[in-house]
Amino acid sequence: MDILRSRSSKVLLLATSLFLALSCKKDKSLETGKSRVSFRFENSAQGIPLQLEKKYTNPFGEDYTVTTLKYHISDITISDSSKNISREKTCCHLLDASDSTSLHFDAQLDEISFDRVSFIIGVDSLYNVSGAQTGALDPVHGMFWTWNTGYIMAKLEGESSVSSAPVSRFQYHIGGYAGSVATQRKVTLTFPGGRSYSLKADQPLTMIIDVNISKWFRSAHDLPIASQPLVMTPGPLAMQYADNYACLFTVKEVQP
Amino acid sequence: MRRTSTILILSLLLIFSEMLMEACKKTDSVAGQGIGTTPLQLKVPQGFPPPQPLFADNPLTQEGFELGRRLFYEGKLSRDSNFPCASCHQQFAAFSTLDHPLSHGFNNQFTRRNAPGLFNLAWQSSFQWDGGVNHLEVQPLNPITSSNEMAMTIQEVLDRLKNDTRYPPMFKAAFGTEEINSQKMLKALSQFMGMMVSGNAKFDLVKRGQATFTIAEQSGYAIFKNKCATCHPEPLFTDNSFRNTGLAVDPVLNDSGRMSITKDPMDYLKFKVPSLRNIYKTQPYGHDGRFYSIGAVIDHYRTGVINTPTTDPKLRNGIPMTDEEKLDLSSFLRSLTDTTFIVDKRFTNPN
Repeated sequence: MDILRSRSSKVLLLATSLFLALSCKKDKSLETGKSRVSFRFENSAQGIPLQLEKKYTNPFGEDYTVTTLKYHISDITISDSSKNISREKTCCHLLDASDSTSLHFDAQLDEISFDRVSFIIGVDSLYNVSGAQTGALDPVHGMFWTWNTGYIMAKLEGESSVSSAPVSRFQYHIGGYAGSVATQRKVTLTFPGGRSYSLKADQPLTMIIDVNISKWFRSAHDLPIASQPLVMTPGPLAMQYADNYACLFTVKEVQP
Repeated sequence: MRRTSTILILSLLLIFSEMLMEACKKTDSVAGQGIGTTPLQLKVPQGFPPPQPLFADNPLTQEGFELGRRLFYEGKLSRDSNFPCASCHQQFAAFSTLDHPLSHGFNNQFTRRNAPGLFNLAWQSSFQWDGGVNHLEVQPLNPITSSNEMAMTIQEVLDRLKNDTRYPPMFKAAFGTEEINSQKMLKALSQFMGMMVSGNAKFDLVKRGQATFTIAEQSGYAIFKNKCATCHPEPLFTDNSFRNTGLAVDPVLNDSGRMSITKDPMDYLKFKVPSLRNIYKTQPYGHDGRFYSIGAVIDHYRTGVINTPTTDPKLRNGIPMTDEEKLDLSSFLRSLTDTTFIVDKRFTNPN
């Protein structure tokens, strides 16, 4: 271990440590009592991974392609029936099908046992009334309504031969943040086989969540493209789409 | 031995640096404050109610204000560089567009509505004639991205600012780093616009005992209090509500007003009650600028109100007024012009 004994090496080590400690004040490495859950959202249609601009058929037999799919995921918690609960501090994640890196992210959560995961699709009303935001909520991401302030909670755009809109497009921009038009939806998911897990600092987990786009059109409500290819304002119709997007998600797998 | 140690240290360093990158890459940069900034205070005129908590998470600084000022006059915020915010919001017109019912935007287009004067925005809880915008910070996104106004995308604006050597140092001075993002841009604009306070009209001087009304103004003030103050209460001269004042629908614009936001049929043709401050500097009037003079507006209230289901109950019988009262009321309204505000050097073009 000559090298450790040599004076210059010690200086180098010290300097490096100092650099590492100072260069990043907002260190998000694990806090005490916390571990990581890596979330991997996998968009799918008809049981296969969703590919943009590829042709699919929805449950009404309507053909469609997806050109844009984006949604906000916020307020992630893991919990169990005996009141163990841990909530992620980070406010919001924007998942964008055209940027596969956005579909994977790590959440810091407490070392607890849990048998379910919850999150909100959408952005809490507070962030809709508090002026300019940044990060996932930056209006550059095209998920913000300027003329009627508020975030688009989820957006699905594409083309379908049954659409009556110009160039056979469909556009679902679903938003509305408060009261009778609030389109945030809380989703609680259990795990395959009803299993529970223990999150430990040295044993991070990976959670793979399937996002089945077919259900966008048919789940809580029947919403064929032919009936309404365009939804771009808060209101009763947006509420129905929100009920549907609450049904897209299932946990496919939890991996050590 | 020596070789093993070197590898060990290198591996440790690698792990460390990876942790560092992991730790840093997801840190959202929130607009902080620059080092050594000069704090500014929003001066609340005597008699004004407390303002909105606009600067609670956007501390007012000289540097933030100056950045906002430059951005307000910056042509690069518009597609062809001809339409900075100030093109429709001219200081000599209390930051409205003088003599234009509708302002001009990109590619020879009219805007949809009359550009309102900008002042006392820190006392406003909603923006736009239909109240669709709920915070001053996000209001500029509308003109910037509207195809008939500045016709840009936010990303293009940010790219232009990043490529202009003047801006990164200004962002650093205001917010601590040279990073330019939409939040910082909007917070700077909000600082500049929020500081535009107009509370120094003759009316205010009279209230403070520093001037006296003329006989006509005094008479007009009494008429105002009797016939106008419900919707235009002092000291802001608006109650910030939305009302249908009984205007005929323009068949081309076909503007449904507040209903376009709320979807409530009872909000059809309702528009925000504008402040009467500086009203003699902001002609023409109405959400579509259809009235070229104050006299024409008063005449509308006297004889022109059209009754439809959403016409304001207070206006259903019009506002009866003699010709003499009309003249006196006009005299009073002239006393609401703040001649210091429209020449205030803090708000002029910095270039």
